[in-house]
Amino acid sequence: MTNTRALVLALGGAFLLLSVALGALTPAGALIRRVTLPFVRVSARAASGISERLPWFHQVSQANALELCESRLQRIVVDETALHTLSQENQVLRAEAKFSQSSGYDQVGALVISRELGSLRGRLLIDRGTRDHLEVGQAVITGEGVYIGHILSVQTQIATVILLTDSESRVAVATAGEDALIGVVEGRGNGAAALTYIPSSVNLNTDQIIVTAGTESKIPARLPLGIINAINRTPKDPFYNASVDPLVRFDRVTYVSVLRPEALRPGL
Amino acid sequence: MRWFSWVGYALIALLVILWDVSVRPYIRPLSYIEPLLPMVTILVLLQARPAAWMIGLLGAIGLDLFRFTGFPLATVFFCFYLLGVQLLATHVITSRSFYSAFVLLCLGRFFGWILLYASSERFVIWPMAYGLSAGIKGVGIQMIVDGLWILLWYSAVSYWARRGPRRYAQPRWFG
Repeated sequence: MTNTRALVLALGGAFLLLSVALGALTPAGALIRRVTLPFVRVSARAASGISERLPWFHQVSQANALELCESRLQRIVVDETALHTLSQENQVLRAEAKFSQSSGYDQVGALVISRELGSLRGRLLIDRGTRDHLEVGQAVITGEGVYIGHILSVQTQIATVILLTDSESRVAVATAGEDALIGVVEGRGNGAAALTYIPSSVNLNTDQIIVTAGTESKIPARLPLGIINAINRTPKDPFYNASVDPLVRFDRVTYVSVLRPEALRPGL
Repeated sequence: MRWFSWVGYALIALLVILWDVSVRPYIRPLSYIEPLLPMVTILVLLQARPAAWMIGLLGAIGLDLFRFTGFPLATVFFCFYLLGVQLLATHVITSRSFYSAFVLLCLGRFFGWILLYASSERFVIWPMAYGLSAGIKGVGIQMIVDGLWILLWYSAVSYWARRGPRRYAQPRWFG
């Protein structure tokens, strides 16, 4: 009797595992996810709110971070003033040339429902999926328009975002204000990234802002993503590297936007 | 009564999923507190098998549905873990003590950690491996928290054994 019961249990378990592995239970999984997702949204919002209100949970020294931010702010204010002037000139020129303002992308807002910020990994789970016409490779930005990563995998109601600090992340970049490709930003884990394969003919400075180059098919150009922190250069090498600080703290990101090509917008 | 129990198991599994998916990753000190593995270990050891299998499998399936990669490795891991612990508890371990549960749980964490590094996915039992991935300090914190979890579940099951309709084995510290 005991042997028969054990055999039935073993067969049942094997059948369950086989069904799961073959994807036969995918509809059931989608149903469970649909039922669970509203609760996950609520608890993610609550946990994120608690985390933001309790600053001692964050690891970075507040004093060091403040000092660094102040020095950068001074430089950025100068740049911003110059940019404001250029922007006004640009508006006038665009009006005269009747240039289209459309970038070819629209934004899909998403809530971050889980995240993994480990020694190698940097990933977010968002509550949008193929139902919202998301696709692998689409760029993900914050509310301020800063590029943080792209869609790695997508399911019906959720999608995984690989952050630019993930060790498997690669994105081609340029310097702000210039369209020429200068290198590739590679994730290093632990919230760090490096700009590699910079030709020795290109001169970079610390605190220079870098933007996406737009060479990837679903990542538009000129999205700011990081700031040069330090440059590692040896005279004889044809290429050199630089370390890059992301412009946003990923442990504070709660809402993001996915840049979806306008052709994929529902109703078109 | 049985239907009521199953609803209870599903609710407990839902709470575990919410905790593991959307609370632990946001609040760093809580990331070491993983309740599912201690809970199912205690339940199997105290011979509450339907509860152990229902909560364990539902929790694992839920975790897989919100994992970053597609293959249901948490479900596979829990199937083998539950089966292994049940076989050990039936044929090998005569003790139902805190000590036995703690050793089994540490072995479970260790196998999960091995799978984590052996797998190309690196996310075998996500999000259960914070402690062992965070070095010796993380291992220490994880073990203390696991011990507290076992005590908590022992107390709960012990209370249920005295007051509830089912007869579970009475917990002991050693032997």
